[in-house]
Amino acid sequence: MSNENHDIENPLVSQLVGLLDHTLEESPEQFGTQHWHSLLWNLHNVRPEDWDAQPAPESRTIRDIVKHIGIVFLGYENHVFGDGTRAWDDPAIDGVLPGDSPAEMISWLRETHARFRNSIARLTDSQLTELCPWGDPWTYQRIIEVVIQHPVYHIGEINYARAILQSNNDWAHMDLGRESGE
Amino acid sequence: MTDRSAINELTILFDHILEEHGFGWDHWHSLLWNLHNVRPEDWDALPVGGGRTIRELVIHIGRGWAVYGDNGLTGKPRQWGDDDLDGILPGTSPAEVERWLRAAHARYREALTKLSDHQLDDRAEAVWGEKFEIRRLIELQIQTSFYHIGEINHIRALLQGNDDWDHQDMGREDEQ
Repeated sequence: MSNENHDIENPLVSQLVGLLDHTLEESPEQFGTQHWHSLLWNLHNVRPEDWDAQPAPESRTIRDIVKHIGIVFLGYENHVFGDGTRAWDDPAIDGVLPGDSPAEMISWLRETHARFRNSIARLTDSQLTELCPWGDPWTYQRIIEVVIQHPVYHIGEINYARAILQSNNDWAHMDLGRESGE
Repeated sequence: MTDRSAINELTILFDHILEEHGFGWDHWHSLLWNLHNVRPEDWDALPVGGGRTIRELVIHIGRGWAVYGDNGLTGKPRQWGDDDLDGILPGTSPAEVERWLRAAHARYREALTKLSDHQLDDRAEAVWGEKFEIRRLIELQIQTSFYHIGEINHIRALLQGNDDWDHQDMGREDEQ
């Protein structure tokens, strides 16, 4: 983590950027088999038919949750670092919607993540404890923490839904098949 | 900056896995908060198609703190499945499990806060034998906990028939 983001001037920001990066993707070269928590890794094993399937009647789909993760990246970026006008259900990036295919969704996810990431990477360590422009008295550090917690929490939900849909909801299949795709 | 600033930052992140305070309604990711709405009958129940229970996931999280803290940070050998924390065992009731979780969390936290920033780039052996930066081993505990807390929430929602956005925080706002 420190190697890829190391910033001597702002080590605390770079540490948080590293944590945020790994919510999207982790390097198999660096972390061996221990990269099971990232979003792209957990989408690796989602079959096309799983994206819109409901693990139970009227429950959230994997697509619903993936879109929610991306929308939250965009919303926090705009309300903390931008003009604060973005609606909290708006998935569009410069007028472009996520698209339907897994490839289009992943491309959109990368862009949503990059927007938040690029904004926090411009902070300095001394700014982390400052209050940010937010409705509640939150520091930049706390906002970044929430945006690190949030995707990982929902990635776990995605995994549980995938496992139900694929009838392999057990410990032995937590990483089913993904090793061979490295 | 001190030689413990990065450790302090990671400690805050680690603390909030277990419990968050003072953050208004935005504290939905912590473990104790996500257990708040789990009914007694949900702990050992499986949703249709499910294979892992809330209890299994909770024990898995706490066991990870104990095993990774002892082996990865303090060098004390602890086998996966050894849940005895100085006489405290997970028990069966939600209150007993919470007491054990707090003990497991405190154990890892104590080891974490004894580190200094310059140690974060050192490499230590993970439980499965590979060596990683200590920073990465700490990150894994943060990641894996939130990942499984999300799974816990999904099981709860499926069991309670309210797996929708409106009920993500069902009833919990009222008790702040």
